[in-house]
Amino acid sequence: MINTTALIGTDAKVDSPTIRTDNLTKYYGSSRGINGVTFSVNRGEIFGFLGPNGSGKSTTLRILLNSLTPTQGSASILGFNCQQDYVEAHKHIGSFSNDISLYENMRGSELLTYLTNLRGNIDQEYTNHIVQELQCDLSHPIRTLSSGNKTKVGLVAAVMHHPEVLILDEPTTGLDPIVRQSVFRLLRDLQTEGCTVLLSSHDLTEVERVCDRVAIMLEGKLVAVERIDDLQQASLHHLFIQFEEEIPKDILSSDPNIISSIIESSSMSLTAEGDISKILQIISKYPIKNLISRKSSLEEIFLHRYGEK
Amino acid sequence: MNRTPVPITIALHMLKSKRRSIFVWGISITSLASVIALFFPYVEAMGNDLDQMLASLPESAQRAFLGGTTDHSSPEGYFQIELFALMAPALIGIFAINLGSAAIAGEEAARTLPLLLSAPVSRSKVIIGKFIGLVLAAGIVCAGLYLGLQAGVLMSGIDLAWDKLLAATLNVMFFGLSLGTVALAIGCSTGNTAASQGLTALLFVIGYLQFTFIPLIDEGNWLYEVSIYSLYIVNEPLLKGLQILDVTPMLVIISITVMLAISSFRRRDLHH
Repeated sequence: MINTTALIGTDAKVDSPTIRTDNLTKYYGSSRGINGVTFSVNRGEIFGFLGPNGSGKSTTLRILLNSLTPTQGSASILGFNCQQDYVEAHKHIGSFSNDISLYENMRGSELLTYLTNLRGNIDQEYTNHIVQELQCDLSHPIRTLSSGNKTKVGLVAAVMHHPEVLILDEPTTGLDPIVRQSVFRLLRDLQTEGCTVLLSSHDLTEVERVCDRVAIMLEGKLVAVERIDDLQQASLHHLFIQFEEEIPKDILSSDPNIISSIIESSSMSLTAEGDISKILQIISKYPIKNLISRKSSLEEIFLHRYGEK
Repeated sequence: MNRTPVPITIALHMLKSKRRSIFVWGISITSLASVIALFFPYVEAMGNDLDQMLASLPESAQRAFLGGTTDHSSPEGYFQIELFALMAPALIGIFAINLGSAAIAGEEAARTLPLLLSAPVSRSKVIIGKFIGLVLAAGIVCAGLYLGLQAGVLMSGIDLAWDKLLAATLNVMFFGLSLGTVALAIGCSTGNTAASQGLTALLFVIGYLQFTFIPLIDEGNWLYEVSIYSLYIVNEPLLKGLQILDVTPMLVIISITVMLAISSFRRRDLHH
């Protein structure tokens, strides 16, 4: 179990944690759901929740939304206990999951009216603004909409009450790049307004683009909480170098940052982690014909660090 | 501006989403009731012959199909035998079971429940809203039953007081609501529509068989009285009008099952 309390406030726009879980544990009968999950999300942060299918991301989110009761531990949002004070908490939370259905026989506009009546105090002007931003079709029955348009309706429903916390579970699964772009823009706009976003995803590219920090779940446990910047700084580098002449095979054998290397007479391809300045110093002693460098994606970093756990 | 209370919003949404089903059930039951009423003059013309024939049936058949009366030539007996003994409670019961089961378990199966519960609404209020919706929907269909009967009675010139018909309609509505709330409670505690519908229908069938056959097997056995069906059928609203004491057991069942529904739904993990 990783206690991430130490990270609180070090990079937040306002340093009080908005979402907090403490030793959150959930068993489904005798089978494991999640075990000892503890993390905090700061106000105004976009916090990614990463992990493969079945790692416990959705279970954690469903406890935060009071769909599930934890076997042990507790969760709170804006200081409200997610189970005991869920009605008060939900006044400030917006949520959307790719896994849920909207009322298929209703039109988008009817759905928003229904949710408005349930919530009360909806800023109609703001709702109209979001509808325009996302170019959301509210005039047709939801069952006739494409999955992208359904997602847009679901997102409007999730944010129309100006939530202070937005919880999204795989919101962009199956969406085309244009709709994804709209969703990312919306998230950034909400962040600018001070909204805290918890974004569960297994799409690392998506997380890399919008998140400030990520929590990584594996087999029901939180294995790491990292800043995207830190992850990127410590990222993997892939180098392909062609030399003018043949080079010795043991040229880089002592560098601890090298993860893998293949040297074939006058060419070399290698993958290294972290600082590569020493590697560059060594290879620059030989005449270089061509050098191609590529920084790894978050997906590669993720697989490298956690793929075998 | 005053906001509509949350349970009413949920109830109205339930009615709206089930409007086609309510309309079809309402029209069907209204038509059925009218047709049955319009046939009475022909049955009445057969006089005592039919009553004698029915009286000659075995007691089990009388209890099973005639609701305990063989008086087919009076309006009260006719409507009891033709409609209120089995057909109306079965139809209203099926309608209410379907609706009670769809209220929570149906929404859970359709994966729409998380959207409803994403609003700042307590689970108790959701159940109260669904119960109000169930009452309103059963009320609409039973209003169709009453209006159909009343229209048939007026057209056929049958001498039957409107309040007796209304009493019989309310009696069957309370019976339907008893089954509907049982289905709601099972749906709330399991989240499973099949269990909710199946177990409640079983409760109805067992109750019906209990009432019909236990006295034949063991005349002094009081168990035949302990079922939802016997709580309904032993009342005689067409003869006595609506007696509050008679329908109280059904109202108690409705109240208890709604409380059980709230209690189980508040504690339960949702499937979706």
